[in-house]
Amino acid sequence: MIKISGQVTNYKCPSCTGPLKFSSESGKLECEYCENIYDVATIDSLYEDKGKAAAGAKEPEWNIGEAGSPWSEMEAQGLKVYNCPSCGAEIICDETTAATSCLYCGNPTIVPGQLGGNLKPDYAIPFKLNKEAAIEALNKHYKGKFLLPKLFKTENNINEIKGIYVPFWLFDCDTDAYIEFRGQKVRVYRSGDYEITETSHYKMTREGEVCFEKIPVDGSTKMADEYMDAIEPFNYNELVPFSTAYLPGYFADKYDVDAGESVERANVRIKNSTIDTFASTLQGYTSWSVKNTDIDMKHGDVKYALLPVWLLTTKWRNKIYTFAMNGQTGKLIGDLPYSKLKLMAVLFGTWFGSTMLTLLILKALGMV
Amino acid sequence: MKKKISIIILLLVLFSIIMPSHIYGVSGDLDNVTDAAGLLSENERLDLDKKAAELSELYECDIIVITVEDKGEMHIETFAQAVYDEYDLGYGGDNNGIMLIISMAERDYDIMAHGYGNIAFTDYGKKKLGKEFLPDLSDGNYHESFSIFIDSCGRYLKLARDGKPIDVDSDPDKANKIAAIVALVLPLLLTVIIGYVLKKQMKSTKIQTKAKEYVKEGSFNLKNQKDEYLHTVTTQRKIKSESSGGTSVNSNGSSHSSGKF
Repeated sequence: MIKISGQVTNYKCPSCTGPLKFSSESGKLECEYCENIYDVATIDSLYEDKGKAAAGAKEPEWNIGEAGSPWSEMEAQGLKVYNCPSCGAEIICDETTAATSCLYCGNPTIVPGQLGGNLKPDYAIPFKLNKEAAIEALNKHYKGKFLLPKLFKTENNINEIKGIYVPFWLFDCDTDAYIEFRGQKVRVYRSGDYEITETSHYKMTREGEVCFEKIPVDGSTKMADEYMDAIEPFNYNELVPFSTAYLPGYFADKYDVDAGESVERANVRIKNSTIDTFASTLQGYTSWSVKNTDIDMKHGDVKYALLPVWLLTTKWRNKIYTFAMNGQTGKLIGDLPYSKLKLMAVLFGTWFGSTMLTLLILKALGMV
Repeated sequence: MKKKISIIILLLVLFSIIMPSHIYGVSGDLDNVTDAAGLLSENERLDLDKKAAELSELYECDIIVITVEDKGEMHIETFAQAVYDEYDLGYGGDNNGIMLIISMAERDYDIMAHGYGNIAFTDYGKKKLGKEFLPDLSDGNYHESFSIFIDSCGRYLKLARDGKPIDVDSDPDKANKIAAIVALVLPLLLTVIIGYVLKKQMKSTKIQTKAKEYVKEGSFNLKNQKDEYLHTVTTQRKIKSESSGGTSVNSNGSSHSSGKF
């Protein structure tokens, strides 16, 4: 694993020094210029040696005290400035950006410090699908949507498409649960001229354990929760120990919602699914409800992972539409606009058509 | 008990011989509409009589309306039967007929059917017929009420001639009501479902509130389970008795539906 210390890192091809990009197809680092392909582990170890050498080297002394002016407090809070190691241009990004591309030379770049220290992710799932797959998925997403305005497909252009490693907290936890339900069994029978309804009430208690593994909660305020929740699930079989070598060519954010703040969202999901799991053992009840729960969560463990997400934004009639695709499974989600005129037309058509059909059937049955 | 019954029978026989002709003071044949209580103007009576006579001829079943001031002590149904027999009412040899008779003294009415009338006017049919003309009768709109009665009789007779006399299971009004509800509700329901499905297609973002996919396989261990009976609540509802339809004909070969208006 490499250590990043105050310096912007971009991986260079050991043969031609061209920038290396992580390829979602091959799962390796590829040079666009000499077309050499390298294992993540190879580049990792190469840069580890380089890092050690750099730590020993002496920095030239420059009088830089007079250059530039201090950032205003607000700017300093939100923005960070780095130099592109390839062309020297300034890269300005916000404080949660961990990987980006140079605006001038397009070099994929990892921003130092952001993923270092105690912020270092435990796992990552490398991108498996590329930009083209995301565009194809978006076009597929438009298909079969009757209410989608016709012009949305033609007038609307993809504004931006970004592959982002989104920070996720993965929660592991065992629950010890005691759940008390109330249930009803209803029996309806006829006695003489009366219909008797007999409702028997029961108290059901269930006690036991159930364990949860890697419930994902996104740790980035930039990513809407309903988007990140909807592209679940990820296939954890492809979870690998984190390496920055997976990042070149993509954006990466560090978390800005810590595990402590995210735990509440995980707790809600654990509680609901614990109740569901125990409720699946209730047999023969007409209806039931939860009366009391005592769910003890223990052996809670949180891991930090970067998971691949393609984010697509399109603009149509001055409104931005955002879509997110799971960079591993290809599941694409995003709310679409609908044509009110089409909705009215289809509602009226359905109502009119089905009324006519009903009348015809009734007439055939001799009821009208 | 036996004594009581024999006194009643004696009274009935006496009344049936003396009362009807005594009340009317009319001898010979009665018109279709006879207004001994004087509730209608002569023109109104003639108008109703003409309509009733035409329909009677058409369906070969007499439609009869009789009003009296006071039926005396007799039960309205007994009285109706006595009048029917006394004046030899009804169409043809089988005395086919449907008769509305009202007695103003205690505001009694009886709908009596005889012969073919029993087929065209089932128990259910007579009750339904009552609901049609009784509101006007109670309000004192006699002409209107009798007019409705005669028109309705025409309609019932037509349906009977078509082989579908109005009964519990063959009430075109009931079927129409059901058909109207079906024709209104079904398309509306379908429209709502289709609208919901189409609109739902447009929304794919969603906050997850469950973690079913993340339950560790085989980790569910149910250590204890108990189902305890607490109590039972019983409610009862009277089932609307739905008669099986048809007409209950008495020993005189007539059927009745009577009451106060």
